[in-house]
Amino acid sequence: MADVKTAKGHRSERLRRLGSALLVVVGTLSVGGAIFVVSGVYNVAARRDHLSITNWLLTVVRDRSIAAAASGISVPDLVDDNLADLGAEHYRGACAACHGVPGQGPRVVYQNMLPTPPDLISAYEDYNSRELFWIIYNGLKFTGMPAWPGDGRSDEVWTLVAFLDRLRREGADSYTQSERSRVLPMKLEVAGVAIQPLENCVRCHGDAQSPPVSDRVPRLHGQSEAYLTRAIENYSDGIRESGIMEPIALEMSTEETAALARYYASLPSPHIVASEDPKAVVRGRRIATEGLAEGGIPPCSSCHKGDNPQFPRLAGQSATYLRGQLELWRRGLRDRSGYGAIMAVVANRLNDAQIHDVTAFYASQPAELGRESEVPIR
Amino acid sequence: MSKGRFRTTVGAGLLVLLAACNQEQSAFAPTGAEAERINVLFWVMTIAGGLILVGVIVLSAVAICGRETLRARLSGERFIRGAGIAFPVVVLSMLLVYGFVILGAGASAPPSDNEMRFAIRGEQWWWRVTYFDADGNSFESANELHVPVGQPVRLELTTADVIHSFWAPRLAGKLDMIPGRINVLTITATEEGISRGQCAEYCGGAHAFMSFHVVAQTPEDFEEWMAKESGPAVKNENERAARGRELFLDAGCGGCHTIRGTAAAGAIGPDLTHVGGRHSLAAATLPNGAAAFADWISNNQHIKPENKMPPYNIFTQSQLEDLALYLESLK
Repeated sequence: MADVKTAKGHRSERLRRLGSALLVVVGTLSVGGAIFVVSGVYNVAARRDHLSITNWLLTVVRDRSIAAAASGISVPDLVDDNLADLGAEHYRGACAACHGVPGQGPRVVYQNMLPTPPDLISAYEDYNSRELFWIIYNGLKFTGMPAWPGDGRSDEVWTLVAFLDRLRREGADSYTQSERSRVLPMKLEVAGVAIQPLENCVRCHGDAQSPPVSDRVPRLHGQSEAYLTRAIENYSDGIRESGIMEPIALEMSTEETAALARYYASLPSPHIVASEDPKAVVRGRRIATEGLAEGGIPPCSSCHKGDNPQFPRLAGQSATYLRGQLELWRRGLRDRSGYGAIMAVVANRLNDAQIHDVTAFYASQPAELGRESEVPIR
Repeated sequence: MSKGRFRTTVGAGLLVLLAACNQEQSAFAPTGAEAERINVLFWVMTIAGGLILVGVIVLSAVAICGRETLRARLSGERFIRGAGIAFPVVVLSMLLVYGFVILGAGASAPPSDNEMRFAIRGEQWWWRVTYFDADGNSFESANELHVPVGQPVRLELTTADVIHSFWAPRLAGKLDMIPGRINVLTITATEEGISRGQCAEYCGGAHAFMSFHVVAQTPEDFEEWMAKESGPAVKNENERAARGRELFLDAGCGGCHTIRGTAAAGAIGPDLTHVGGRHSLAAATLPNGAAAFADWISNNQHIKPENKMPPYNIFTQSQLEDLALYLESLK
């Protein structure tokens, strides 16, 4: 009995000592940590690379986080030049500033960032499509990589993934050779529009000589000034979401917006004959001109008939673009403006087949129909 | 509380209760042949049922507390046979047959020569009313039923979506509108005047805002009304209303609404050709007038949530007023 008691006493004595020792260690670490944080000893300079252990840790945390978060994303078909071309043009206007021309690495200033923006020619060596989508849409903490500015516009993000996918398949030449030769309308420069906003427009939407770069981009040629101006205002007010258009619209002055709207309104429509399924066009014509009363769908032409400049003209727009916009309405991304709220109601009554048909109809129509008189460039 | 104040309080309370006696939508104030029969049937049933109930209570009291001789008589076989079997069989059968006869159950009234035929379609949440004239020509209106006094009118009730129930209490009983069926209700107004009716079957969120007015007119007034109502919109506009008409046509309103005499020929929403002349707006939800039109155009999703009309917030205040003035002018 006595032995058991002594043994018990020894054990509690040992525990007590261990406890005190732990207390001392924790205390020292806390104080040491506080001194480390407050003293400013840690060097946050981008000039100095991380310790290799820090680098390893950051990389593992980052890549595991991306892989875990991206696992549920489903990838659309990315082998599509309409996607990749638009992605390439957005890259040129927004991403190239940091990431540089693919294959040539970032420019000198950006080489001095930590982490250095990677040359995206090799993006697919480290990540797959869904991970790249996740990174572009969400951005990365502590790296300088911003999240996509257009909330919910996953459709835009996929254009960039498609572009990176094409870089992987076709190499850097596919980027450098896709730069379009542009003819800047000199009159506009005289009218006071700086080259930058004009370039931003022309890069994707084309100009007098060229159609838009992709079937996902609306044709602004011959569209009404009032509508174009309102679109830019909606983008810059954050009423319309777009990671591509919002930053561009925010940089445009009222005068530039007016001048560019006037410019595009004055352009003759490029003569593009879209070959759409004739049966779909016939069904679509009925929706567009008569509506489907039993489904609560008024004829599109009751608003989009070309005589009210507030309603955009749809004839001659690509079916893909129109479908994409109707999809945005159905996803609740375009209903914040007065006009958008009206269209949202109708878009939500259309089913997939009806959207297919009615967009095929408008794509098959020559854009010249219902066009107002030309507005001369001043 | 003083006696005077007590009287005032009770008086005020009674006034509040009396407010519920507004006869605009009361089945107890029939102005139609069918509703009169229902009213008579109701009182016959209520009084007969009440008398029987009183009799049963008296007999029960006797059975419990009565004198021995009376109780013995109550428990006798003759009384049981008479009051327990013969009386209910005879009385209930009489009432049943009377009920059938008075409501004309089992046979819809044969269409008579001078009977008029109108079609009413319930839609979430309003009434599409189609009038047919003697030559078979038809025109549409909404949320208001005009009938001539003294003439049977055959109403063909259908629905565009869910089950609704057409109920104009002062004219007739309810009749459901069932998808895929045409239910026929014949009504005959017996008195001039405006009464109110409503949907009597829960039909979705705004069910309570699905009402209508019935306007019973002398045959001469009705003829005059039909002649005017079947015609195109009256051009009786001032400058502002004319601007409102331009807005109406420019903003795409004609995609859903018809205004006969203009390019607006939509078939989704109510016909607005003579909307300014109706007794209410939005299926008896709002009073008729420019202010209510403006409210409805921009705010309809708050007034009647999830109705099919999109909210129109694209107009400036003065445009909205012009548009409202135009609609108001469509008498």
